[in-house]
Amino acid sequence: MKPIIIRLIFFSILFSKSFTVFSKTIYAGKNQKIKSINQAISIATAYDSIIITEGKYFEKNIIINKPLVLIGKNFPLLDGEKKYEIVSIKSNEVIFTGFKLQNSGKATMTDPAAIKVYNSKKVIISGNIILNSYFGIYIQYGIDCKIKDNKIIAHGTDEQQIGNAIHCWKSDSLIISGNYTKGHRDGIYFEFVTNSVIWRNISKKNVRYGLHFMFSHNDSYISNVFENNGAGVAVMFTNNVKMYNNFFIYNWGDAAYGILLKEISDSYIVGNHFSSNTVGIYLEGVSRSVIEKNIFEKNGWALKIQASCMEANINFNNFIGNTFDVGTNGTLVMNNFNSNYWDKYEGYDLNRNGIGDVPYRPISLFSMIIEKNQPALILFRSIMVTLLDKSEKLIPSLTPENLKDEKPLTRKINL
Amino acid sequence: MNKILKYVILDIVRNKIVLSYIAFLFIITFGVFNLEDNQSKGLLSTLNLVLFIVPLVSIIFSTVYIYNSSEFIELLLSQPLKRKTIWLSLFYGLSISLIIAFVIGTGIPILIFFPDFTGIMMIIVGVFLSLIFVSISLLAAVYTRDKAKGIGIAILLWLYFALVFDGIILFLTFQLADYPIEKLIMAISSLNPIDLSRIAVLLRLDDSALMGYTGAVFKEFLGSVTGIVISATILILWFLVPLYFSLRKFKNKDL
Amino acid sequence: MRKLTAITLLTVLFFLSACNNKPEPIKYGKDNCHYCKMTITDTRYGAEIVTNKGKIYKFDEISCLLNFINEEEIEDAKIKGIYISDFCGNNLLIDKNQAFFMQSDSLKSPMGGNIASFSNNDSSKIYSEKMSGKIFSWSEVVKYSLEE
Repeated sequence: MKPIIIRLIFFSILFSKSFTVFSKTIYAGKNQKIKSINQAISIATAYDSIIITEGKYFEKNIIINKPLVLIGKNFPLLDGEKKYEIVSIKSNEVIFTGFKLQNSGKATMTDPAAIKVYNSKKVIISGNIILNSYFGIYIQYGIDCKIKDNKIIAHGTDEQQIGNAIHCWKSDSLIISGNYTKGHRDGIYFEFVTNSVIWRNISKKNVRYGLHFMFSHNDSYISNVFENNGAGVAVMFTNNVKMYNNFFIYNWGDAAYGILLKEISDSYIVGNHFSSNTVGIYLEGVSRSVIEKNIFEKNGWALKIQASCMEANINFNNFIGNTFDVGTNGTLVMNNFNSNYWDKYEGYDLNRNGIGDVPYRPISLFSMIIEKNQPALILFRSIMVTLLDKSEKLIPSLTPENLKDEKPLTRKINL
Repeated sequence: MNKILKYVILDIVRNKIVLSYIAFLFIITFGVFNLEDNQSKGLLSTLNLVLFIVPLVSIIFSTVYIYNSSEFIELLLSQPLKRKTIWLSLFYGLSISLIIAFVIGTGIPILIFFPDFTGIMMIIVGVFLSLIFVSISLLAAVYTRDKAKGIGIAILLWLYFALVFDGIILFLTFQLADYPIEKLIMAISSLNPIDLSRIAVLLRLDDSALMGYTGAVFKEFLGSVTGIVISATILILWFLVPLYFSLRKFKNKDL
Repeated sequence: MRKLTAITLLTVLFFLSACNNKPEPIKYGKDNCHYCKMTITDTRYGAEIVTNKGKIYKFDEISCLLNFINEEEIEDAKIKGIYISDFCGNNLLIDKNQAFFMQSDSLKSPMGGNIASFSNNDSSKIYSEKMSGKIFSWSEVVKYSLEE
């Protein structure tokens, strides 16, 4: 075993040496011989490095069409003058790092971005700052690309058209990590992207979604923060998504969701924190999925489950201080609740085993009424509704008989 | 008029019921604000108090007071006084003392914990509800000679505004589910002072987002100047109109 | 009491008759698609159904609208009209019977239905040449969207 490893290390050193031997480093910048980035790219050969020094660059569209390393020193500023796509990467194995880009062009047909990757493999885009652009980083038909530690900020509003911060379309095996996005339409957008990881990103104050996921199978997103986005996070038409340890905070508004799940199957939502969202998780057409060990705190609704959901297993979660714990529009319930902690539980535990002796019914009559009949929301917090709910709690007759937690925990779970 | 008014207020304060009403409101409001970990939740519980207890106490206390002071009223009628003056003095006396009771009992704790527009709005709503239900109680009392019947009617009226009306709205939303009824429901519920007050306060709280599309329609309405004018007019009409009719009846009443 | 009931009934009728069955402009960035629940943001693709009783369902694009009709089984008889945004982006709703349609994969519509509609034939031709799109009739749109 050992000799193989040593040999591998040896070869890899040899290999990397061979790069330094055959590839050169080109300096470009205001005080250098080569003034423009486009010029530097045109004289470079594959696998060269280009180091760009501080300064402002108005180069219209920079096309990187061979495998190159572009490094910005002290964040050289590339300006798209609100007219051009700033950087177009049309080659495999490009590394693009350390730039500040601003003012990419706007066009609804071609979707120009600050950095756009066309049909390429193994591209790394890292440590850039992107300001006031239409789309931030846009990947189409990319494979094995990494988007790391970029900061993408715009100031979008409802009325104005704006693109997404990180937009990935028809791609595979991406790693999106450590990015910070703010003020775009969607923070991170995935459509037809498979086998990818979204890790440790922060998505704040985007006009629509913090994360938007469609037709993207076998992806994971882990330890991200989605805060105060116009409509929260949407995950739709997807199988096998894993959502671990994310924070969904203050996605508050008439139609905002911590997560909006539609047509999802075989997915895991584990260890997440839902705090102060209008709806923690909205589930429609969800099947064979697990919602476990999450904290639902101070949401309007912790869960809204539509009748189209099947085999959602909701276990070992903490429900604390939500206005409504569960809302549903169905009477036939094919989802399981087990061993959750509900702060509204009023039962008793005679044998002191930490499990309540009477089941908990997380659904109130009023929350059922409004799922079927939206305008009735006008009666929210009226005395009649309070009385209706109280009487229904005592003698359940209209709420679904089998929607209940048989083993409600009497103590908060340490999560 | 001032003399009668003074006498009525003194009489009511001496009655001790108003004093216990103040104490009750004060203890509950303070308790609610201290109990709830979250202060805006405290505000919500106080809202329930304002919408539930204030109208109830206002309407029943006033009705009972009118019946109990029937001898006093007869005495006043034998004096050279206009009937209008007597009746209005009664109304002012009742509403001033109940409003003061409300402002001390609930208003002060609210201002301590929520010295912002939402808090002030809640106090305004409470003042309006006191006025409206005093006025309605006068109407109920003047139309029925029998004390038991009068009190019964007062309680029924309160039940109607606090509960039955909402039941009707719920029924309507189900019956007309196929129609775009948001605006209609809005119009109907603004006809009930309790509902209008509840929604106006709720829309100022975070919870308004939970009211979805219906809430949004209402927000648009109450956010506009016309909306504010209309809802204020509705509240004012709610105490002026019953007062006017009770006065008309009282003027011609054979005592 | 009878007067009161009459008045209530009259107001009810008034409000119900007030809702003429006309399309209502979509509030972009505020309204949600009734089918996929997404916020409607793209002015080029919005669509809506108006029922006989004046209720309005809004969608972020035609394919959501058609899926809604198909799955929720809203009866055709109950639909008064179907309206679709003009692709040219002037925030105009056109009756489906007066619209011209084009399908092109380079459209990238919100839900991937990739159908654009136009208020006049000329612009549909211009765009279909530009984007190598196919001109569709309504029935072709229905067929295409539901097969997707």
